Amino acid sequence: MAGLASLLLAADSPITTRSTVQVYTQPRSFAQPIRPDVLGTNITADRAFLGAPPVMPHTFAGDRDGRYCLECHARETRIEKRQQAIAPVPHAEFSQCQQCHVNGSDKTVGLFRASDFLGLDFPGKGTRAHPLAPPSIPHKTFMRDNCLSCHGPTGKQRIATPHPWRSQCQQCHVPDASKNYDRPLPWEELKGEL
Amino acid sequence: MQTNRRDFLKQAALAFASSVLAGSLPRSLLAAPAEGMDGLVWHKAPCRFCGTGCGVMVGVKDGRVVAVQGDLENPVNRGLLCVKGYHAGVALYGKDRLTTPLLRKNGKLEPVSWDEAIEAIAREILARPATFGFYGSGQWTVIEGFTVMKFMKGGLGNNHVDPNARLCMASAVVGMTTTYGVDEPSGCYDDFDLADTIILWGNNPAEMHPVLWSRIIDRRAKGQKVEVIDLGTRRTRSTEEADHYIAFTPQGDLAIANGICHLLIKSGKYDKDWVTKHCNFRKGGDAEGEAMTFEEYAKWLETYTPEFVQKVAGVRPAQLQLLADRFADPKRKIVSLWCMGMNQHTRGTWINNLVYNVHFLSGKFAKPGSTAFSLTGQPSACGTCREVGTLGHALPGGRIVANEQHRKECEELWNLPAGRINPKPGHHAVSLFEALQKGEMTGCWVQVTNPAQSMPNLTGLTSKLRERFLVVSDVYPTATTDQATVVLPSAMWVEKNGIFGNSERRTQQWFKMIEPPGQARDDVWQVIAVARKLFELGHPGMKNKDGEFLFTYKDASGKPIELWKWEVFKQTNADQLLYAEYQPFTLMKKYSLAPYDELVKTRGLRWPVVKDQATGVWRETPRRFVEGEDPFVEPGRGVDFYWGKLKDHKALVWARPYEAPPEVPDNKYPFWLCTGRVLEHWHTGTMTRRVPQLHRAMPRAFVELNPEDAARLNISTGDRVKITSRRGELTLPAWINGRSIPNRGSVFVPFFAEESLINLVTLEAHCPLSKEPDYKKCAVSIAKV
Repeated sequence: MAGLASLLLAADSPITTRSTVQVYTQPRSFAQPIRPDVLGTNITADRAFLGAPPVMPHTFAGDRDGRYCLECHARETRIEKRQQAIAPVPHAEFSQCQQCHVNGSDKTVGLFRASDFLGLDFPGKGTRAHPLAPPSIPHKTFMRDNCLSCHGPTGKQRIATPHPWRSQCQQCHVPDASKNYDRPLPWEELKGEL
Repeated sequence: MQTNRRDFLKQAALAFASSVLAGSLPRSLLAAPAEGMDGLVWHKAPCRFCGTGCGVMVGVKDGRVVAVQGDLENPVNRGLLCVKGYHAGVALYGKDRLTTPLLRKNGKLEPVSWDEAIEAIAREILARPATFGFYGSGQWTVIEGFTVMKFMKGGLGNNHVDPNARLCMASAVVGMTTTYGVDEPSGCYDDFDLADTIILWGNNPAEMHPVLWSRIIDRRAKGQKVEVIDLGTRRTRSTEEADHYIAFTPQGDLAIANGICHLLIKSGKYDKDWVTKHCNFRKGGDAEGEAMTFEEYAKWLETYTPEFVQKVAGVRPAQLQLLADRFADPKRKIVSLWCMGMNQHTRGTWINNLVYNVHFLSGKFAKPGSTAFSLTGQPSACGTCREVGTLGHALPGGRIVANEQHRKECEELWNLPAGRINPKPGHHAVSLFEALQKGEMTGCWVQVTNPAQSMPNLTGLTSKLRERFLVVSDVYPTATTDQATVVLPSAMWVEKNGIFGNSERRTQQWFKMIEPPGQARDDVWQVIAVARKLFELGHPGMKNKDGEFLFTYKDASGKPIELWKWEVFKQTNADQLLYAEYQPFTLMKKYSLAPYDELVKTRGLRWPVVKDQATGVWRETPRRFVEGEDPFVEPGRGVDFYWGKLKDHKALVWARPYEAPPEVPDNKYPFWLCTGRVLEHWHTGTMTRRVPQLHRAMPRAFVELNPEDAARLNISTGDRVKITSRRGELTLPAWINGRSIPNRGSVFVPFFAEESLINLVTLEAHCPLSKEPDYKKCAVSIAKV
């Protein structure tokens, strides 16, 4: 892997920013200069709607090889030397990261054509039995096995857990069956009376 | 939970009561609306992109698609999607959707009423019915294809119907029909879960069939051992997961397959029992061929020594031996996968035959975990183009126009007067566009595809479309609508009812979920409306045997349903009516599609679907020709090729030779050019480029070079590179060590970008049997500019 990386670097005129080496993985347009400011690694992920896979917020040397992704993202909230936290992958059983997460780092690319799409918004808060009760999970949980991927210190502040050290989230926060539309529950499929 | 499920189901049923049999909605089609998600309803549908046929759940709110999720209950993808699938709903909402019919007046496309557009089309067809063609797509729903077939072959009496699938899987079709006498694969995706070795024949499923690729590769995460051998002309994302990469010279695949067979027979390690029981041997280059014995075949193979294979295919003897060893191992389960690499090939039919040979000789066929499997590129290439038979020579359900009995059966099923169907096969895709270019064909209706971008050698095949009467039904402006005389705005995907058939014979149905924008209307309606106008203008072909309109369907009281009226069409499930007419067509060749109601209830069923007389349950068939799975297998045979050419329940092993491609690199044009798709974009990009996330990820076309070639030519990423062939030229930015690495001496360019038309450069040479052009190899020169 190291061999491949060095090959990439050698052939690809690396751009250096923030003391990390970045390699652009897209051919640029002829006229467009490379803008170092869009090559950072700490840009918030973006997605089309609730449930859509977020785009990769940073450039990425290994366009061809998704295993590179897991070098950083496989670990639970690994904190880098630079104090940058990296979101751990919430669905470790899937290895072909780039089949869903495509490069979205270059925000300078304009649209091909304008779009009218209005995506499903975030679900809001879960319900609580009383003010001190733990809220229920207001969204589906399929492919979201690791709550800290979004609710940990690397996620958006608004939805960050105040107690990231408690790792057994679903001990207190339970999925709300009315919002977990993954598949019918046995009692919903029940034919006739018990 | 506040909402009562029963109430909700009632509301949901009411929402599309016009199109659904009330009360028959199973719970699992819909999920609960929930607090905070008022009015959000989830419906099942198949994805509208590749041939994998992933199940999606489409979230609809306030009459708009707002989300798409993988369908956990669909056995194809089990909840996972690829990036195109997740964003399929976004593709509906490009701001420049076509919403009104357009007619070219004084050289300009101007908005007109539907009546005016339909009348203009009908009058043109009435004036020149014999030279009007129809060009469709593997993205046609089953019913769209069937409607066009009835209109053209049963109505106009001309057979000039062909789909873009001709550019996509025609070689797979002719490969299967020449090998075991009937179209469509024997195996299924379940085999991918069981195989020990997966062999990719010029195939890149990591980008083209990502969910199937995950289905294979993610087995490793469960501790299973899956070996992947990648035979390719380009290192791709799939190669990154491969245990072995075997680079070969374009067209060398023919020699490799024969070379494996040669080694198997020479070492005596072929499956003698399987071969004796299930195979005949045949020689010759055409579809007929002549009989040969096993001994003659073995002798014929002696040309294909490892040394010869190395000479023409560039594969080392040890690599060939590795492949042969895998097939010689009696315990190993092997699946071969291919898609365009083998099909877009001037000997596409042959290479398809040859890969079956390898699996037959090794007995690695029609067994769980062992099969040779042709992946399809489009969501209903199988369901529509192949099973409905929207091809110049075909009729629905595996029939052909040249066969008198087949024509008679179709005339009876369609209630047409005897002799209505023309026995002369119509144009295939390339010849249709050649005829339009020459003016031999005067008009053509194009639906769900974009030939002015996707045909090979565009200058030679599509530069005169503006001079013909070109009707284009589409959802966005494209390179083809630019050439049109009439543009018809179409309903897309979940804006209409539909049925698709995927690569593993799975037929999947969905209901209309939202209204199409503006005046956009279903393609099925468009065809019926033109047919009706022709009927009113007195075209004799638009009548059935009883003098009624060709598309006469009656309601429960026996009253004809006036489907040509949009208001009536909108209130009717035309899919259900036409499917009831189509389904009997599928029985003759034992395709035996399930009844519509069964499709509604399930996440698709793999045909043949036959009712179990004891239990009354409709049972699908995972593996065809296999006793215990396929109900049409004669008991005791184990494996039964019941459509075998020689009618002796056997398949054919074909002696097909290596043949050099028609254009090879020389001093003037020293590089191979290969074209294809990328993960982010679908075909000509008209839908996926309108998805911001997909466009940003892959905003423009590029040319990939091998790093050594690039270094020699002093080309680095981002440099302008001019690609020139005998037919045209194109300048693109170079991408070195990017997504893929072509083998030395070859370059790769994707075809999605309408501003960078690589098909100005490609060659229209095609397989003489399947008529499928070869987009994967022609000779080009490369220059830094």
